[in-house]
Amino acid sequence: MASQLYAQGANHILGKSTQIDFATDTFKILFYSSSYSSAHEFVSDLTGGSIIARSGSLSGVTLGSVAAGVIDANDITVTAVSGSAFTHVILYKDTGSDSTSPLIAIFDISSFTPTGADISVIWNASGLFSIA
Amino acid sequence: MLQEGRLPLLAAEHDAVDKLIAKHPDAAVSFSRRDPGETGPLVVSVDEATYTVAADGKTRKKAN
Repeated sequence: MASQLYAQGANHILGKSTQIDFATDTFKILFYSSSYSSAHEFVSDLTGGSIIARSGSLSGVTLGSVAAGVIDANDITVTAVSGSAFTHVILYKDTGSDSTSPLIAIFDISSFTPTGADISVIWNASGLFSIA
Repeated sequence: MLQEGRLPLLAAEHDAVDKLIAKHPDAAVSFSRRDPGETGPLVVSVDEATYTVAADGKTRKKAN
């Protein structure tokens, strides 16, 4: 499976329900060891035991700064990650409740086994994704 | 995309992050920064709290 926007996440970007605002909302990532499902809409729809770790808030989230329609964010380090190997990094909007926090995008990575050390996520210089 | 280890930090920032981790041993700690060597406050999340760390290591908790 390629990296992609969540189908429901696209709907939220387009205005559904939580109406994602990249200028003001809080965004986080999580490390996930199960598969993508187009039926997943919120963090609570994920398999809880497959969430290996979560980040704090991303900083430097921008829309259209790198290029028109491109979402970008600062690189992030999550400290002291332990647990099972994971295969995806998932971007989501954090509302404070998993049941209302929409999943936005899922990024495939090679299986990564945490060792308890810090893990840094280095976003592509071209940004996280484009809606243009 | 993923690499083990921290984004590059100044020594004082590194020490400040370690102090936050030591002070909150059970908390989820993360921080983000654009480019190696970028100046300006480092933004550190400790569970739901947010701190800024200046280049000299001075740490302030941001009001939620």
